[in-house]
Amino acid sequence: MLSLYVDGDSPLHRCPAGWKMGVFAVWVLALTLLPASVGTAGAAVIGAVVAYLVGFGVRRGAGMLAADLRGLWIFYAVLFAAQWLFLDLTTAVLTTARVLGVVLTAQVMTRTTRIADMAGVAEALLTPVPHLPWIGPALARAGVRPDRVGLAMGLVLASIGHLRALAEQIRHAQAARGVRLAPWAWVLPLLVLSLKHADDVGDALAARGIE
Amino acid sequence: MSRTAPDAHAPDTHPADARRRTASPGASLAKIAVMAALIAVMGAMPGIPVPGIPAPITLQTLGVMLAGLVLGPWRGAACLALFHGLVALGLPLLAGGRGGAAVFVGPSGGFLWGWIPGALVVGLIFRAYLRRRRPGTGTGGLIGSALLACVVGGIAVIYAFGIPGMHLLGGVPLQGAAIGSLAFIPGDLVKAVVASLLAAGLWKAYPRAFA
Repeated sequence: MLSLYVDGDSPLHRCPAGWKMGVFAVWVLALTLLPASVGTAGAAVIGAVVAYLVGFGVRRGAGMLAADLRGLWIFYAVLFAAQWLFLDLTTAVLTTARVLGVVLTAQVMTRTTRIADMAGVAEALLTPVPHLPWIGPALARAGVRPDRVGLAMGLVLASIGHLRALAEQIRHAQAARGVRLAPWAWVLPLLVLSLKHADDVGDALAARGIE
Repeated sequence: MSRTAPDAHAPDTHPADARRRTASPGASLAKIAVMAALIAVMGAMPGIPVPGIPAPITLQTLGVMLAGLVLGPWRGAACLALFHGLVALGLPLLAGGRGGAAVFVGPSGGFLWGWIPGALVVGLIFRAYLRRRRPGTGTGGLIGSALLACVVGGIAVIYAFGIPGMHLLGGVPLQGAAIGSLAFIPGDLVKAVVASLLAAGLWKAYPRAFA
């Protein structure tokens, strides 16, 4: 399974995932809630550039930043135009810079943290949930258990490959019969086969004592 | 046939009604995971270009509607929460191979947050109909209620999160965000119709799926 992680040995790669995500969450919250000003816009952009350079070194980081900007510029040009149209030029520049800075920083966070480490943070966040005063027992009664989240995530990843193969088979079968239907004609067979697969997976879980 | 005594007509009860109470947490877990995988597979399919609409229709919001229709409110919401959990961990599961923390803090992040309550509302409306549905009724009411559920939950609720999200995360004024979002309404209406037809097809082909 493809992940967005990019290998490296920078301080950002080595920093514990929990700390990194915590600091990032506070950073995003602060920048989003504070009113747009030269300060917040500048901080967001500088933060993003520093994250790229610290995470991937000067040459690789700059190249990566340029590639990301090439991929994102149309969307942000539209956003900028909308703000200019409805507000004024200064606000448009400041808010677009702030938003782009936050998004690019998030990109670096994702690229420098392994999926397993991210999952560890998620698990640590979910562990106290059953002990919460009111929500915990309610969730437990509904059958929601945080320790099942890891199993569910694994099942999703395992199923993606299976469903892709099913979609491929359906399209081949339709092509072999010379069916030329609407582009979404394969969705219903895929839906039916997927849910049959889900029932099989449910039976397999039950057979392993996971009810 | 009174509404209060659904067991009065047990012999010709739809299989979905018969199994509703017996769905174990393990079976639900499998359904939630496979549905999340299906949404990921739908995101990997090429979008359908529509003349006059800037962005191609991706099938992922179709998946959000289907999750609510097929799984019901709570499992539907859990399915999208699980899907977003995997995206946030850094898996490129969104249409166009997007993923990571960045998508949730970007200007269109509100729409993604809206998927979770969206599926919940779709499920609430459609399940309210299924509970009142008499066995042997035609599919007209089924399609109609599914369409209503998709338009309210899959469009109105998602936009109710997406438009303020564009305002908060992207700095676009509410009015401008609302006007800009209008361009996507026709495509979403098409998806609501397709989702309702698919739900009716699934109801005929594999009614157990709704258990």
